[in-house]
Amino acid sequence: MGRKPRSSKQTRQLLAVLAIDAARWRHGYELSQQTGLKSGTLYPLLIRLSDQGWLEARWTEPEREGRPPRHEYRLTEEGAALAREDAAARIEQPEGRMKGAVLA
Amino acid sequence: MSVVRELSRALVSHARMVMPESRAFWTAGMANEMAHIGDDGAAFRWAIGGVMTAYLERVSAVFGSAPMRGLLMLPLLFEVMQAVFAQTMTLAWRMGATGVLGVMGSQTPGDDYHRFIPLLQLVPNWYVVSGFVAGALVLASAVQLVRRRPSAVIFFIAGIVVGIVAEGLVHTVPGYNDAARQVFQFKDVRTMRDLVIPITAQLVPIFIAISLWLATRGTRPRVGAVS
Repeated sequence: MGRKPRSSKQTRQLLAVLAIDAARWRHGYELSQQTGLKSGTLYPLLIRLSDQGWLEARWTEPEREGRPPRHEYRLTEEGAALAREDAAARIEQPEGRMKGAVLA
Repeated sequence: MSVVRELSRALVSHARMVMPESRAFWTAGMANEMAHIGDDGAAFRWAIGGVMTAYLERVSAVFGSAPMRGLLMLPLLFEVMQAVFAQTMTLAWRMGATGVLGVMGSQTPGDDYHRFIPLLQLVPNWYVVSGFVAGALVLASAVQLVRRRPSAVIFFIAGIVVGIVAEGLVHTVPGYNDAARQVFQFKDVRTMRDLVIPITAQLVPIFIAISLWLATRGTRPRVGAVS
């Protein structure tokens, strides 16, 4: 298992969105819209999370014919646990200070 | 197909060429995802992000390579040397090690340590200690770079900040500014010594910090991490 990712604001945003119904697979564009992150920010984060074993990715067939297959992403079990711990740490520290948090 | 859409496709194709082979999975995903974005403007912005991601990964792959990290050690060690040079000279002077002083002085503009004596007399102990702390932090950064740990950037910045703060505070020592003027004022003006080298010395830490970030961001892909 990789080291815990650094807690940039964008990483926490992405983890928070992925943690909602963590078992569900999501497309990149959907994640971009839900997090408000542009693709140039989102994908380097997805790549890093995947490298560290927190995210899994797969190809999936398109819903409509004639469209290319798409990527889907979701947190691994370890990633989901990490996101939950991070969320709990933020609730304990509502000012947003990450001292002692899992991702710090 | 609209011109914007064509341009977006061209950008994504470019991103696929730039992206390192080991990351091809991700640009393929970004490229295909674009076909599912209805709005041309949004697809264009998506493609721009794809190009940015590809270049970031490419540059990181280059900076993260062992030869490049080895090359990066040179400016890092230069920074260590710069952090501890004056402090070592001060210690040598206090210990009466004239041999060491002579060698170190020959490496300075003017080729002689004697002109530094007014400064060496005034430098407080905490300034000497701060230099070694800064040097140790930059050295720790070098170690972390070898291990390819992102904390290399933090250690490096901490070292530079300690150095800058100490440098700022030492000017408050009574008589230090006059002594510094006496030591560092030269009769003639040389472009290289008085302009090029000082400006470069200020820019090098910025270059190193960015390079360290690029060399240590993320980790190597785990086999089987993606399907």
